[in-house]
Amino acid sequence: MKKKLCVLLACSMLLTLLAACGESGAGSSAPPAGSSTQPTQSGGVDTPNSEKKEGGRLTISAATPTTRAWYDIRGIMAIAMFGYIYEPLARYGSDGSPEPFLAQSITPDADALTWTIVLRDGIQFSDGSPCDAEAVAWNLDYYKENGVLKDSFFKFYDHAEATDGKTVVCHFTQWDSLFDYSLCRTVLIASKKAFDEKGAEWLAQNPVGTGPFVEAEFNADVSWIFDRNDNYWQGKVLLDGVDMVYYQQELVAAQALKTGDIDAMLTETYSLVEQLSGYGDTTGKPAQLPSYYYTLCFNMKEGDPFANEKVRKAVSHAIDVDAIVDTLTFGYAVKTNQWAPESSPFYNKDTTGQAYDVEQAKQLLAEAGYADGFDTMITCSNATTVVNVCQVIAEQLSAIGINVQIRPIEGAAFVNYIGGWESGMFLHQMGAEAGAASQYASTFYQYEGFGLGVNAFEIPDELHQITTAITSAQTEEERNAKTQEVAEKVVDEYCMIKVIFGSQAITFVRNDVRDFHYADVQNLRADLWACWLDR
Amino acid sequence: MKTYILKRILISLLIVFLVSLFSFSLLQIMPGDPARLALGYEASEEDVQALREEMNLDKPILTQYLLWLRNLFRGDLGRSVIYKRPVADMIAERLPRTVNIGVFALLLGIPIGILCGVVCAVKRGRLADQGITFFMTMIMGMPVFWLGILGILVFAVQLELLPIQGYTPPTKDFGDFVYHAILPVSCIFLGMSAGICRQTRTNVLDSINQDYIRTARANGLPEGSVVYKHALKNALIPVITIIGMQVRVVIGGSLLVEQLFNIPGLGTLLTTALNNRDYMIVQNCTLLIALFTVAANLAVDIAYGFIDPRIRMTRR
Amino acid sequence: MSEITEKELTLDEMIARQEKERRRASRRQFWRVFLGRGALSKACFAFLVLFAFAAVFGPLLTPYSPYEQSLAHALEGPSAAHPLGMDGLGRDLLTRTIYGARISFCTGLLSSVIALVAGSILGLIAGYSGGFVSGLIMRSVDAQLSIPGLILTMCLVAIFGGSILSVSVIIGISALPGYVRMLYGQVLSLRENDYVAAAELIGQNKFEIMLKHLLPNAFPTLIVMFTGSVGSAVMIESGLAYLGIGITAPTPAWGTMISEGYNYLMFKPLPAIVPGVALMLLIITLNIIGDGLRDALDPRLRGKL
Repeated sequence: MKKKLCVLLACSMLLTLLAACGESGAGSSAPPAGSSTQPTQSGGVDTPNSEKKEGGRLTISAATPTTRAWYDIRGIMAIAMFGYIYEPLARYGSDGSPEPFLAQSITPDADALTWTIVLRDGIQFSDGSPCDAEAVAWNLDYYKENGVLKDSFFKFYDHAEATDGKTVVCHFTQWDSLFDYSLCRTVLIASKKAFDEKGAEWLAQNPVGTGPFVEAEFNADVSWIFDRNDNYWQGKVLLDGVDMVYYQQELVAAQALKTGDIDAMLTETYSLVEQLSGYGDTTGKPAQLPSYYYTLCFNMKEGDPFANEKVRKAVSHAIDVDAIVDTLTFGYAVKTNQWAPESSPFYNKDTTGQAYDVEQAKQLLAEAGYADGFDTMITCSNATTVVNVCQVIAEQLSAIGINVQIRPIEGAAFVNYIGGWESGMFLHQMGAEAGAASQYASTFYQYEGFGLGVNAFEIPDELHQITTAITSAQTEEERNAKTQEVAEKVVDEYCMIKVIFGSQAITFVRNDVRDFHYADVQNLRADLWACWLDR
Repeated sequence: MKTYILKRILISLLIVFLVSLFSFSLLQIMPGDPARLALGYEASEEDVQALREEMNLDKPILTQYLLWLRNLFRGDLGRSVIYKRPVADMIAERLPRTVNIGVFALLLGIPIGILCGVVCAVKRGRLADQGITFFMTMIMGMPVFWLGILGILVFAVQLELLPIQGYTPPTKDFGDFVYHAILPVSCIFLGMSAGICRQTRTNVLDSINQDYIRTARANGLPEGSVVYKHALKNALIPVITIIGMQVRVVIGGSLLVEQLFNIPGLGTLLTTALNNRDYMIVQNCTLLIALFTVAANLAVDIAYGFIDPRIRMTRR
Repeated sequence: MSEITEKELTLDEMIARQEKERRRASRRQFWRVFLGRGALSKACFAFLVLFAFAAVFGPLLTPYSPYEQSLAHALEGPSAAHPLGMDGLGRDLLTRTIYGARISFCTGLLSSVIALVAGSILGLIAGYSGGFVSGLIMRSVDAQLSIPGLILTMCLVAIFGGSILSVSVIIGISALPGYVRMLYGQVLSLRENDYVAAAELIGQNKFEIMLKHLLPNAFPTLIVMFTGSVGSAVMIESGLAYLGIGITAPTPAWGTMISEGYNYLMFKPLPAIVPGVALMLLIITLNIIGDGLRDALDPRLRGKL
């Protein structure tokens, strides 16, 4: 009798386990009674004003920033979040090139070493002060002194001059053809009046900007509450506010989306995307531009087998990127071999990379003198997708006799390895937000300091010439041409990197949320001022 | 008695000193440059050097240690490099949350554990004993995060009885606090009570078989009185030690639980800080947690000393 | 029966023969108690043998390698060729689980042995030497116990890396205190023991005393602690893997497999559940066996069951 009971208990526990997981798989595909079975296109279609409803709060799952100082924002999502309060002078368009935003126009003058910014009329900060040339000039100069990314993007910037109420002239010590790209990525315009009256410390804790919302409450690692800004310059804000809630585990956030605890979430974890696609009352939409390029980098220092170009090309031929994209990313990732998607003006259509060809790989390896293969290692961060990609690469390389040991580095320690990884390969999630030109320009030239592969890549003089010509290019056409040339050299000719795929963010939002433009272009943009809830 | 207490206090201070050595050495041993890690790889060398000087990293090790201790005594727990706030503020914010969850877990786990242990011992070999023991063994076999995700799936997603995550302070709304805390607290207290149950069961069984119990029975005392008045009192003494040990378990177990249920307590602070090499937080938090544990053990020792006079004589 | 009559045996031989009989009888009783606790403990013992078998003979049981991937078949369900299906990278789940048994055993045994040996030595030293050395060792142990276990292991892994060897050593270090305290307590209580006092008077040296009195007394508790350590080592490893630290991919440790399969939990639960259930069964088995061992070896219970 007792034995039977114990067996029963054991079975019931296992059954509960299986049932819990099995049910959720089956149940999620059936739409709940009462909601429309046909999900309408939300986020992208502009409905006529008469139909829009005012009010209600939107709840989104997102990470809270560690700092709210307007000059200290570094990460991609941090800048997106700040789209609620702070706004930049320009933003990236759907092809990755900058479009003026707070500015009406941003005009370069290579001969005079200036960029001229003309602001729009009528933009106010949420404290009532005008967003005029004086305020913008102050913001730019402040960033030059204190901005977290000043060394990467404001190197040649000298100072800004407000020539009239809405014109700011930026002076440079050397020509920087990518300044408009930098503006999308760096300077968030904060209220000068607030700074003058209350100081930097106060402003860092109480952000005042031009955005559609103002901060109501901030709880680090928990939530961030925004209320509507009634004086928003683009138009009337319909939502009462936005509640940003932090879920440490994406899996838990997905469950919250399912139960309606949150209205939207953004993810780049494709297994989650696959699962969320089955939910009936949410719609998923990918961003138009990738957020990261998963890039395999080679250590070209002498003594490493990868110093030999044939070895690098052999390895590149041995990797089946299509299989990786189709399985690991469930087909959602962007296939590309450069740091730009095909729609970008920086994309070189003639650059083909190294096609998947194991025989060619073996031959090249033999020619290089490594017919029996060799032992090496691949360094990466310990994010799940990254480690999975490394595992696949390691397995594919074992087919040509190369024995790869995986070395995942966790958290902040990973930063130490971006410059140099001692030996072998390095899988990097290269941020895509600044655009290919800027990324090539800061990586593939001869310099000292910190940057991807500064202690790993060997940059030939010829490449150095072309790369440095990007920033000093006098015209847009010249800049694009030089960028494409760099792509050709780096990917095809020298095979210094191999881009595995471009990872794009996918936003899932409940179907009763309309005009929801969140990460439409890239996960660098949250456009929620026109959003409204159909409840 | 006084010498006993004094001795325990001195020993506790020594322990705290040893923990401080360990916390401090973390920063020295861990690979990587803390200043560079804090500022990121885009920062210029001058900025990194400035931060290095600010963090006293350029001074000899002993000086660094003494400076750290001096600051601690002044109440200055340093500044977090990732959150850009004083560490003391963040600890003050997060400590109550961890403590609330922990105390709730202790309040549930200890009585339930003891009760189950007694029931198992008294009904030894019968259905209740077998059933409870089996259940407890099952619980002990499941990793905490497994329990957690199972709880979320069953209670929050399927049955929609409980919220998926979140935390409300009990001072703000007690009912809401309990509502949000049930799942995370269950993950912690179930494992705790399993351990306590087993220990209690063994101890009660031991004392039930003692001669003096047999004598009590032979004298004609009713069974209930025998068990509860005599056996239990003696059995409970070692259990007090277990309770002291649970403080450590509560803080450690809460680490995984806080991650899963997004309770912004000390555990998540420490994990984030460790991953991001924010040494000020790691050093000071570890020391603080150790301080708590040592204080709890000190309280247990002193209580022991009061309850069992033999302890006072023979303990070193 | 030999022709030697009882009269011709010397006293020593008689004692030796009685000893042998006693030991044989107690061994029989051990197995009777250990396995006699019901079907459950018999089942657990069988499980343990199964795990050990899988750990040792793993490679022979399966035609696949735990590392070979067939990406096209990733996350497929059970089939004839793959009884438990495939994981996220197209590797046979059954194979990885079997190899995982080996890794869990390795980590568990290695860390427990380290804890046992080092802990016992430290405990003995602490017990026998007095004063400063003893105080230092015991206070260090107390200090270590004041730091939550997971935090300690996280810090150590951050310093020493995540190979099987270093993770085992680190888990072993975190299990040390129990053994140190146990043995220290034994030595202390032994000092007051009449037998030991008599032995010292006779002239036996410390080593002999240890071997004859200390270890046999400590043995039951040590064994039970050992089984407990193996179980908790496996549990800690899974916790570390859940946090993203610990044994690195592509090694098929169960904890690592659970955290890899975690992402697919909602729509393809097998890759996470199978190692999770295996882990659970191993820990439960070890706990129940530990209980059985304790009951069987505990002299106070002898003769009463």
